[in-house]
Amino acid sequence: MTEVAFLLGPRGTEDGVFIAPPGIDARTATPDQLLLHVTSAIPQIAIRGTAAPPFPQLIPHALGFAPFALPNLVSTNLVNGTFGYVRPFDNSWGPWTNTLLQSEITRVGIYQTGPALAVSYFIYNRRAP
Amino acid sequence: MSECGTYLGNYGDPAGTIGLKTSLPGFDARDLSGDNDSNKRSFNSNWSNLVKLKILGVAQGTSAPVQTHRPQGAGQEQWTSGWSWVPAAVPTGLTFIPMWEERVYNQASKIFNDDLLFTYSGSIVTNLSGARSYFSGPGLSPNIVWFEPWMGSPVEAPPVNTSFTGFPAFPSQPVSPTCAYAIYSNKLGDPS
Repeated sequence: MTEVAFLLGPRGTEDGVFIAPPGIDARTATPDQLLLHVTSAIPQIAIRGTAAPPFPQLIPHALGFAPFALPNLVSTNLVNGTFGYVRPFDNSWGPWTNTLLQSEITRVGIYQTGPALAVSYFIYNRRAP
Repeated sequence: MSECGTYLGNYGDPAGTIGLKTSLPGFDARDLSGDNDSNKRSFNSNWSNLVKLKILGVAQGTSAPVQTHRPQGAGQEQWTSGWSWVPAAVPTGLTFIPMWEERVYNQASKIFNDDLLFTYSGSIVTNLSGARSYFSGPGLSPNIVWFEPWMGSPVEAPPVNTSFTGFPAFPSQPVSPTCAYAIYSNKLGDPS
């Protein structure tokens, strides 16, 4: 049987867009074999961005529920003159920067205490538990 | 020739890989010179850094009582009672070590914190909490990521004795925060 590299529509109990690498059939591949696996059952990043201080700031969204979200801190001040960073927390030395995202039905609030750092955020198309 | 905004096919890939790509207005999705230019392409399924999100979830670790006995030298010994963190297991369903990340989560107020919380007074950290994680594979089935939200608690040094006088009472069980996590189906360390 000829392999199918691209599938648009139903795949078993799924419905979406599926692309398989050469030698693999997109109809029967396991999810981790696929190059692309997009279905409504797979979470997606709905909004991403970077916000510069000062905070608080409110990011509006129209998802209709309080969404799952994850923050990162962005430092462009070079540590030891050699590197900046994007990471989930700032622990280089006290006093530390504490950052949080508060998820609400129409917006996500960015709040921060401590030394000001830019915040990179991801807001997903999934309801926060 | 009119522009082609969406293109599906084997667009000159010598490996024969099928791809799906879309272009921004004014650019042609069939133009190979724009394949890696995000000012021309809005999507390209062959982008090596395309993030493939698999699981979003929350996990709460727990703590279990532990009693230990340690020789201290010079004939003296110490018996302690405390708590050990027990991580939460999340099966990935994948056959390789994936990328993942976690943050500290407050479910009641729907607050996603950064990964480590400090409460401090001057230079003395009086309390802290966070989330950390491990991977148990590859080669184990099921393939699991372990999440361990934790909270620091005051430590009282028990007395040092020359004979066993009984384990000290357990301190209060520490409260375990919850963590929110994302697990990707991108291989850890794999650029493709």
